[in-house]
Amino acid sequence: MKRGCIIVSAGGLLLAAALGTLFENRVFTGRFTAAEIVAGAAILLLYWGFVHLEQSADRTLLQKIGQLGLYVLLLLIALVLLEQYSGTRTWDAAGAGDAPGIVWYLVFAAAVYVTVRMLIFIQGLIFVDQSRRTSGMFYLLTVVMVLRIVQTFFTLESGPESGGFGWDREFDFSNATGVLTVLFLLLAVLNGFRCKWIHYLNRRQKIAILFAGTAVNIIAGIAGGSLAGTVTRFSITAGIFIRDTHTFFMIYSGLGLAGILLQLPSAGIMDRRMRQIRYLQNLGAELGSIIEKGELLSTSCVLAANIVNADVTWIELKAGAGYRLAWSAGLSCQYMEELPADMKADLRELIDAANPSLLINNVPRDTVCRRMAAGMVKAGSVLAAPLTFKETLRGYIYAVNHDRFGFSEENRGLFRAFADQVGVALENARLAQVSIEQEVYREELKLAHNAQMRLLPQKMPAIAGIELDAFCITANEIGGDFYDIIQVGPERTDIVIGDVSGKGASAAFYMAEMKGLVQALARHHACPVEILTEINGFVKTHFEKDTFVTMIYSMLYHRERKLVLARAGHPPVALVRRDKAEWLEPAGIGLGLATNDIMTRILKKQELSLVEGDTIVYLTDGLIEARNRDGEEFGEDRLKHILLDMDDLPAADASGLIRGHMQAFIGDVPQHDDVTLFILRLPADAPNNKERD
Amino acid sequence: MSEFEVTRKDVDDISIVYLKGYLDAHTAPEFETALQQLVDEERVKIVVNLAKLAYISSAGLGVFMGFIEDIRQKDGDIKLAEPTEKVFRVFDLLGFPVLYEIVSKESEAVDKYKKG
Repeated sequence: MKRGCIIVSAGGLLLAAALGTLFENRVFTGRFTAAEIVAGAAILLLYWGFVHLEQSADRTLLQKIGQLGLYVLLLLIALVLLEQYSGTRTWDAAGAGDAPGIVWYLVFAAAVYVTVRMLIFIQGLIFVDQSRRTSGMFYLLTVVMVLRIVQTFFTLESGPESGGFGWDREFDFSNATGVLTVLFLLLAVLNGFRCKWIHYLNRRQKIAILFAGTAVNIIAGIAGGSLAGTVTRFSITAGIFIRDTHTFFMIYSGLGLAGILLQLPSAGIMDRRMRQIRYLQNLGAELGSIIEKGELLSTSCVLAANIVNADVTWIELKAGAGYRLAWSAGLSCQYMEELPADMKADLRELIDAANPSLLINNVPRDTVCRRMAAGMVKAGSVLAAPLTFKETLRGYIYAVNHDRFGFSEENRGLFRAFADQVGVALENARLAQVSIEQEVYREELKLAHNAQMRLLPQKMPAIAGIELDAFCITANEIGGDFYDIIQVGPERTDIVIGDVSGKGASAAFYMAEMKGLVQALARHHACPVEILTEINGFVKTHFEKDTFVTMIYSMLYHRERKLVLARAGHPPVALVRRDKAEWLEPAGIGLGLATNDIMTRILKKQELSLVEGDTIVYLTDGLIEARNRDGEEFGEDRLKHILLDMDDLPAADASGLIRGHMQAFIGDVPQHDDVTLFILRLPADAPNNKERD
Repeated sequence: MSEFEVTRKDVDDISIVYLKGYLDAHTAPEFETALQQLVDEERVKIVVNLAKLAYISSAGLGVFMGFIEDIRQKDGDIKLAEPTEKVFRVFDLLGFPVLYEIVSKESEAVDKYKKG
């Protein structure tokens, strides 16, 4: 916008300078090449600047025509007055007649200005709905106009007034003049056919523009001739520009007006179509916003009745192999349901074959639908269309009018267009429903996750001289890892860690079952092997064949500082004592893999006397098997190194450290298994707690 | 990431199943289908070659358990051959060597079937 202003100003200044020079110095026998070039450049600049300025066009076409007409009319009046006053029709060798030179000068400048506006105006119209060829054609015309100016300048022999501007000279084929004229007229006519703007006018606008346009055309015709003749006397560039542009304007507007005239008879129908299209567009938006299916169907039935002026409408939707009546408006469902099934099937076939929609004008005489008229409804005519989305048939929509010939041909297209909108809206509603269900599912998973997390110990029991800490990170919302701490009497605390095979909901259910089982069995047994064997029997009997559980069951005796543990197929426990870390791996087998007989034979318990400074680390395979981006596993060795480097960290810090190491190791790779870790530690400087009870 | 492949070779009445890549919860169904196919064909003398198996998760281990009883009832067996050190460690921790024959050479497993 700003750039446009600057260019226009520059063009205006140049034009003033050029015309001023020409005006002051014009000697009829001489040519002022420099000044003419400056004038030409000025016109180009003005044109270019206006192209930038004209972009913000909020005025209607009629207003624009009116404005242009007013400008041209004012010019014409100014010119006539000037002629009257000066007593001469043209500015000539004797001077500007009685009128002061400056007045002529101003009128000429104004004429150039208005003509540039005129060219821009035509360009704007031509470029409506433009294709690449459209703009090419227009620019070709402007090039020819420039050539005509240059050519005229060099062929006029002794000043403009002797050259004459009659059509004799224009069609002089002894030089390029004639050829250029023919080319100019041809291009002007070709550009004249680019008038798509007419299609966007309604009937009233067309009539208004027809009258206004004709008036402006006549005015421009008169003004163009007078102005061009006068201006050319002192500037060939400006003069020819004015004349050619006005000629072009007359040709273009003449053809455009003829186009409007031809379209006037059908303008009413066009208007109705446009209104219908707009109505359908609004309808589409309205239907698209309804996501509740019932509401969508009822709204569609009511709207369908309004659109084609029907008495009864209904929608049937695919249900399994057949169809079911989904909604109706204007009548109880009974009527539609009582229609004979074979007739309905025949009707559907007809609808599938019909394009754009099926119209039966005379139901009582129709071979297929005759029986419809015999029902509860006085059915005179029927309109029906399929409800589809992307080639998929969803159902059909029907409209019935009591009168025969109650629907027009035009209703057929409209009804189909409406049916298509309903098809899209139905799909929208379905998608919305799916996404709501998914949201509910996610919400439920979250609840399941929270419930599962609550199954884990909420806080560690306080045991003098012993620190406990744990974490459990699930890979999905719910998983199969678990750990538990059961205080069995004042002197014994059982620590259990386990992992149910598989993932997801089933693993989570089994995990919850394990928790209950462990809690119940702990109080009745004093040996971890016994407890594990009991659980094995349960898993073997009640769990699915391919599901098993790995577990470490350990009993911590406070007073004796003794840990008794058994391992059922679970990754071993790490013992960190002084500067050594070792894996405690008593023989064992996963729960649910074998019979209790084998179990008791294989399972071995291990007893361990704890000393101050000992750290025991329980974990699940998720930690050892955690993988980084390169597919490398976290591994037992890496863990061992971390454990050895921990020095005398409190249990909580130690678990935090391991967790940090693991997360740094996997980076942004999604965790693929649950990771659980439990730490038991006897601080080296712990107060003696033997006198606790 | 979970690239996994199951191929099979039949030698007389013995079928050798080759596992390759990652056997986890996502790929376990593929292995399950392969075993089910063998059971359906009444080919129950099975050797699973683990030489190219990079990883096995609990869901993968579960597949063996899902079939073993059924197959043994039909006088067949699943023998495991040529596990890598890492995969053997997983089997060993779980106590599989008590329940399954795990051998270091595929031919060894085949010979055991042949000797009856």
